[in-house]
Amino acid sequence: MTYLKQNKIPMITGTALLTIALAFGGTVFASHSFETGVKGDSLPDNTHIRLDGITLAPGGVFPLYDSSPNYVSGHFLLTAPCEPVTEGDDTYRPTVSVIAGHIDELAENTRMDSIPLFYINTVSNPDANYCVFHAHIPDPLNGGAPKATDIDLINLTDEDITFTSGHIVDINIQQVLGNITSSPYTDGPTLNVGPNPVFDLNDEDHTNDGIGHSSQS
Amino acid sequence: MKQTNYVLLGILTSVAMISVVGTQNASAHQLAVLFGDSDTNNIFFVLGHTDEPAFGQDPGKHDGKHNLEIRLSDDATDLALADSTDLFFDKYYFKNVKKYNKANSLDKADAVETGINISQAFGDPGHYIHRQIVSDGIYGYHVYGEIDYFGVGKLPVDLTFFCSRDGMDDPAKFESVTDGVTFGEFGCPGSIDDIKFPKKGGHHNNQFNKDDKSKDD
Repeated sequence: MTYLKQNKIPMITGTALLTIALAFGGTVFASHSFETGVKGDSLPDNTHIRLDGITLAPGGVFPLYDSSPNYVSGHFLLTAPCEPVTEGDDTYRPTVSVIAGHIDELAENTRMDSIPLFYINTVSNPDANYCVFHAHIPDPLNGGAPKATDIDLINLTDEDITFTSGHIVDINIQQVLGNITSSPYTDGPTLNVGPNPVFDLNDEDHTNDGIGHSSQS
Repeated sequence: MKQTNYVLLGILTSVAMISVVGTQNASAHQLAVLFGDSDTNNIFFVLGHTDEPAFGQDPGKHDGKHNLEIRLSDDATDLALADSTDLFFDKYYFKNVKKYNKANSLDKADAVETGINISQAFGDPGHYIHRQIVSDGIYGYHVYGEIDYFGVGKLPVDLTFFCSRDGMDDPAKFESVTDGVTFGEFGCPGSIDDIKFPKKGGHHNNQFNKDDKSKDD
């Protein structure tokens, strides 16, 4: 499966779908030093989504979470079909892309970025097309949109992506970090989407460890 | 890690924060955006007294416990910056506006305490507290040391903030901030008698009792 170097139609289609959704207004998709978790004895908000049986066509978008009007922070888990980041690499990336940010009714207040993912090799089985990824939303050290209300999956490839048994998303929201009224995105729509940056703390290559992480969590 | 557009983002964030804080409480906190360096992004700095508006201790009326509080967060994401242990401050006190206005240096302060280490409140990441009982008067704080940025860098901080009260010729004459910009203000501790009702020897102009009595008759 190749990304859009050869064929930009899926990306254009995905962007068009997002733009159409915005234009009609009513459709809103829906050892880590910066993760402080919940305060006191509050319970985090947890969302678990089974992906098995879902096929995302090229350009297809699958909204996962929308906390508007509040920006939130939390932990993201994805198990998904995967492929080596580069030919022969022992670090894998999901074939589907994960994007986060804010999709506003007003296009100018919209920003969505691909988020940095951490490949968890210890519980992944690439041979079975099953890889586990973590992300921290937002990630102030490794990139992605600094403020997020929305988290979506998007197929930026030129082939269908079919999820099978065991493929899931789990989103654990732990804090509210302001809201879209006090700190809106401006000059949008901004779409920094593409294959997710993938970090791997457990391989021999330490150039892909990312910043601020010394262990898995 | 420093990015030029973070400066603009910081300023915009600060302006937005001021508008929010300003609508919440006339005696808000003073804010600063500290510009990041090669290891850190911009840091959002907030200083003020707890439980504002603050009033001086008056035995039998008010305990005067208004702690110095500082909140530190990543400017772009609002994530709390926890566990900074190398934060210190000096505090200055002028008994009244007249003495403050007359002073041409901090050496003229009626009381000075230096080299105080401020520590994080238990269970509240990014919230730093110095417990104190205040008197009616003018308070200033010189904060210095280093802010830990998610364990990947330390940003030096060196700023002086003074509270504001009507009649001060220049509330900012002793203020400074190194490598940053500051916004807003926080109120000086006043007299608890200012909010007393009815005031001693005063009269209230509510005719309700008289009118109500006539109705009852």
